Amino acid sequence: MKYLRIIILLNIVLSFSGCDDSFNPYTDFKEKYSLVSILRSDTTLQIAAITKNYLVENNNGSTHKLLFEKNADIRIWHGDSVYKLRDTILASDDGLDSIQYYYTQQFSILTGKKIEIEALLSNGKRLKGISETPAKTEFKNTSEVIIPPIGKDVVQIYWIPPGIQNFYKARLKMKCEFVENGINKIFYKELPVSISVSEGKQYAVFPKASRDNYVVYDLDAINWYLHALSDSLSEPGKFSIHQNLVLELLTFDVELSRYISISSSSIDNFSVRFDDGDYSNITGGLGIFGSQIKTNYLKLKFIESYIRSFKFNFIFDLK
Amino acid sequence: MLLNRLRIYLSSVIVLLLLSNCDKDVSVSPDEPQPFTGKIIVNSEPAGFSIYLNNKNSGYKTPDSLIFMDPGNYQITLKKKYFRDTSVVIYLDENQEMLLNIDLLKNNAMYGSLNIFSVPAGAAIYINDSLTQKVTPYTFSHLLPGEYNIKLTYPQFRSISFDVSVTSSQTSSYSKSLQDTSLWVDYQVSNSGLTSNILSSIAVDNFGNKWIGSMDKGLIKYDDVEFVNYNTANSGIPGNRVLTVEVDQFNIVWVGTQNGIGRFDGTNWTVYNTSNSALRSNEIFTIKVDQQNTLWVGASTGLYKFDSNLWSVFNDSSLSIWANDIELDNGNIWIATNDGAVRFNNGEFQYYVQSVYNYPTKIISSVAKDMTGNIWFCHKNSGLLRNGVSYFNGSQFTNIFTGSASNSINHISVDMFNSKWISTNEGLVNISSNNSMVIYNRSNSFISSDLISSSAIDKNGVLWVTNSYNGLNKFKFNSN
Repeated sequence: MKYLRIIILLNIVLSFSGCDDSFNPYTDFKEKYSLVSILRSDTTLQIAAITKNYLVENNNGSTHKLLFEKNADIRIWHGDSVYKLRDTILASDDGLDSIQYYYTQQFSILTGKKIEIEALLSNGKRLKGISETPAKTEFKNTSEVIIPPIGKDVVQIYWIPPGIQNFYKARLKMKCEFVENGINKIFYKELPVSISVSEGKQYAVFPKASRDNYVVYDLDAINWYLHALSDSLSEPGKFSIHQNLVLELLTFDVELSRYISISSSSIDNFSVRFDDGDYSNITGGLGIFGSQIKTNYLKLKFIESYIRSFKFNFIFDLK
Repeated sequence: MLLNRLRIYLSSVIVLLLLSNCDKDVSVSPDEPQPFTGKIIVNSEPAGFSIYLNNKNSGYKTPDSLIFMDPGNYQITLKKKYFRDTSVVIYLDENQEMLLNIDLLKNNAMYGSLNIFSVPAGAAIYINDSLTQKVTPYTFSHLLPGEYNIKLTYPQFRSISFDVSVTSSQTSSYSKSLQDTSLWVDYQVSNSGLTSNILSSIAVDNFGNKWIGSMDKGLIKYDDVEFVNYNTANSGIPGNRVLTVEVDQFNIVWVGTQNGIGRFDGTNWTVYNTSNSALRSNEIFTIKVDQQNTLWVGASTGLYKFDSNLWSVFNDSSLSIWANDIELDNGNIWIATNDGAVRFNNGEFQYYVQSVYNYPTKIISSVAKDMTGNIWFCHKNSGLLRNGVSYFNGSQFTNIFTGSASNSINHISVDMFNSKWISTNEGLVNISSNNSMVIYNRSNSFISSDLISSSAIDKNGVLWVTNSYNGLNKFKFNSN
């Protein structure tokens, strides 16, 4: 009986002195800073963002939130030059939504340059990242020059890889003109690389970032896209397509390529997603610092009869 | 039995308790160290130097501070264009605040020298618009590195202004030739406020202002200080292609353009054209105003008279008058036409036919009366007949030829010494009162080009010459 009392007492003690603290995933939470900046070659606007993880208590317990870190001193080195970034707020028209970021409008990156970023936070913490912009990407002469190609049902564009670790993302765009309410609108439409079928319905598939040094467009996909575009117009003859196309190729530097490779995240001209668990090349915190070079392939041309076969108007371009 | 089972249970619970308590230690990452709060305050004299930290540009310029610095050795280098680099090596203790005051001006090696030479020597030297009291050649030493503006002036020479740079521990040398303006001065768009180099005509008013017609930028006024442009964008001038300029005794400026006549009284413009006058064409070749303030106008459609707000048209029914230029000669109006020399008097045209009077050609571009009463004509090529100059003494013509057979004789003016100044496509020709001839061209003078469109003499005896494509020249032919 005496031992029974001891056991009961011990059980009670154990019940209250359990490992709740140890099991609570938030007790060991530490503030983490992340720095994201992707430098671009096609603009002088370069941006960076610093966010801080913090805890929010609500009805569902505690959750992580990201907060823009203000008053940081961010500098970017590009070759021998150094640029300081300023912070700003971009608000939506209704003022309900806004994003904050640091920016400079003083430079666009060149190929094959060492780049470095350092953010000195107001509490003295430093976040640093280094990388090197991709070397120049050149297209191979074996790339296709006309659409539709003669005797082939694919449009292939090749380029000489500037390195073995780079990822690329291609976009094939055609230039269009359309008169609407008396105003001539000029815009670009991206052509799909292939078609996917889901539940009996066809969808356009566009190129994803990959390490391949080529992109192959299925002519059937282009045909399907142009047919669909023509069918959607009441008078396709009033819709003009230019002779010249442009293939925009983004070449990502090694750091950014690793990020894409590991996170399998989609990446485009304007954004990079960053999650806590993804690849980071920022010392002193998390995040990604990299660069992308845009190169245009301008030799592709539509054949007039091909465009007119979809009932579009055709515009010849100067050389 | 029960005791043994209890012992086993108790042991198990204790082990479980011990194990479960370890979770916290396993999951915790080590604490991040707090940043050091070391600080380096960098000042320099002068300020504005880029601060390099361990040979890397920090992006900061003096005066500024490097904050949250780790303890350790640092090389601080100050860099600025044209200055020598200055480096100091420091050791920063943990959380130390260090002040660096670097006076670069104390270092003599930081300064540079500047050598200025000129041809001719002796030109006064200005640095950043301040007269230095020094003349060329001169070497300025102990100059702070950087960029300076130098101006050199010399009497009778065009002053020259240029930028120089001075580098630490170096002597920068600059040598300039000043343009001799004792005889010739050239005014170009590139070296003055002249707004066009394509000039057609010129007239001088009673105040000495030069009124210059351009073929593309309207009318230009030059008062020996600045150029003022009157064009269709900023004034009421009827056109920017000015073919002729005249100033009357009241300093009213008359311009003939491709779009009619413009009258400018210094403030307001009045336009006369085919819609509000008797003009039958808007392309005006010549305007002259006589002592009675009567306006005489020459155009491709004849001779016009504007008097007391009344327009009169004079033309010949058998031979249409194409008036390239006119000259007033008491009651006579001498007309340079495409059909020869014509005298107009009391409403009658008298033709001086080329085949009868044997002057060079019937295409006459300009006419002027000299101080002896001779009427001078400029002749352009016509068929197989070559260009030349002629003068009529009241009974016969005398011919003078200048330049090549392909020359073009464009304009004539007469100075107070009765010298004739002929504007040609092969230079400026001076025919003196005794008919000796001198040709001024690019090879023997500082005239801006050989393509001369017109000239005019001011009251000081200075000749002003318009170039067809190379601006304006001032020729002080009387300076000696």
